[in-house]
Amino acid sequence: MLQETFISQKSLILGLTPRTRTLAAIIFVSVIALSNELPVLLLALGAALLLVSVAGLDFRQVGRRLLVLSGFLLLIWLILPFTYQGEIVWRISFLSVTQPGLMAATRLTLKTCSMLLIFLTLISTMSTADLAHALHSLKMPAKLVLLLLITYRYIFLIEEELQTLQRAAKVRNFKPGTTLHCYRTYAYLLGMLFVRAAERAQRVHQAMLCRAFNGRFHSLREYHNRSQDYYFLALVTIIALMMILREWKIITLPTLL
Amino acid sequence: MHIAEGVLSGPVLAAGFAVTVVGVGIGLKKLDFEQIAETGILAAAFFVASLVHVPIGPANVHLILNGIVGLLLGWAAFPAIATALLLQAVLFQFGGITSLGVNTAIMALPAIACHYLFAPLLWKSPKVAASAAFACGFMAVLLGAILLGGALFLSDENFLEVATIAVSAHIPVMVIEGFITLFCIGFLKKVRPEMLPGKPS
Repeated sequence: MLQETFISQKSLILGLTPRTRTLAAIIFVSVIALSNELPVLLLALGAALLLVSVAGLDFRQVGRRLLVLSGFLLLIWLILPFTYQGEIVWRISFLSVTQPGLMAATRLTLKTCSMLLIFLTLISTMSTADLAHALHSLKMPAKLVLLLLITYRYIFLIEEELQTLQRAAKVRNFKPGTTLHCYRTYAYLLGMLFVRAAERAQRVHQAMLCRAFNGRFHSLREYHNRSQDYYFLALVTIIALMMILREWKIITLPTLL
Repeated sequence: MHIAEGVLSGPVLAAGFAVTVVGVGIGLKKLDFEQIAETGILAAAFFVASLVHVPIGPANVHLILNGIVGLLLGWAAFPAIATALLLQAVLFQFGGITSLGVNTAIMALPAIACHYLFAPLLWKSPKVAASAAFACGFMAVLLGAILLGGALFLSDENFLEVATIAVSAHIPVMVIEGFITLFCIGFLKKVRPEMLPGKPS
């Protein structure tokens, strides 16, 4: 059920250190989140698509991840065009589609999709251990990094435990339905999951003490910035600056934009 | 219960980060290295538990459980929820970087509120305890939905209808979470009372 689809794929992006990738993702995503001008958002989507193709991700897998957004975007497109105030472009009996409403829905779609694509290519392609160490080097508190690593480490084990419990319920002919009995069964099942997690936590804590844990996790891999990291960060900064300057209407973007 | 990337306005995102930084700071301060393993593994359990889909009529909803998280972890709920949401973003692309602050606040603030409101009632008479447990699950989702709707509305007044739909979609979840929390707390009381806060010795 749980899997990290995008990690093992080889690509140019993988040549960059996790720290570079995290930093680039944070810069890109923050600038996009604060932008509203259509040309800027188109540039963002262009940059995101370029990243996806350079990263060599499987397009079908990427498309599947974009589907995560489909429910939310459907809601936006069903509501915003009809509820915004402004110039009416279209009238279907008592419903009227407004121009600002259509624009707002378009902008939202562009923003959400490009941000998801950037996150996918830059962050979801690295292991969580690498991400944690990258965040640590970007000054995230050590305790939070440790919490992230431990949580990540046990998600997969506890998910197996959940499946065991669900299988046990199924073997006893449990069929989910809208009944109090069903909710009680799920509640007990989850309660058992928490009890087992707490017991596991005790054993893990004792094992950590036995091994003289001093509050630091060491990474097996060391990363050092190479020239391509600096080039990449410079490129990201230039694109981000262009977006900011266009957003503030200081420059105009050439050609189609 | 999360807001996608690219929806909220700058000030709302900034406010979300401010609340989350303070909350996570307090949570981490109260958490010494002794408890990190326990908090991390419980956070993993909540992450996994929220993958469970519970049927309601023909549809099904997934659980949020921020009420129980608040009861069991107290202020540590803040870093635990922030961690779980970051992992959700990495593994399933739910939420993301810029909305992490707001999304954490939406789930963690109600968790802390429920901890203070309902933890003292858990060891009163069975009736009071049962209603407190139900209210804990119900209120945690209700407050979260209100914060979610508020974040949308404050970002753009034209989101009013979207916010209303998002909040009302959570009403069945509130009832289900109430029952799940009620039974789950009852179970923990029998099996592992020391996991619950304020157990009289």
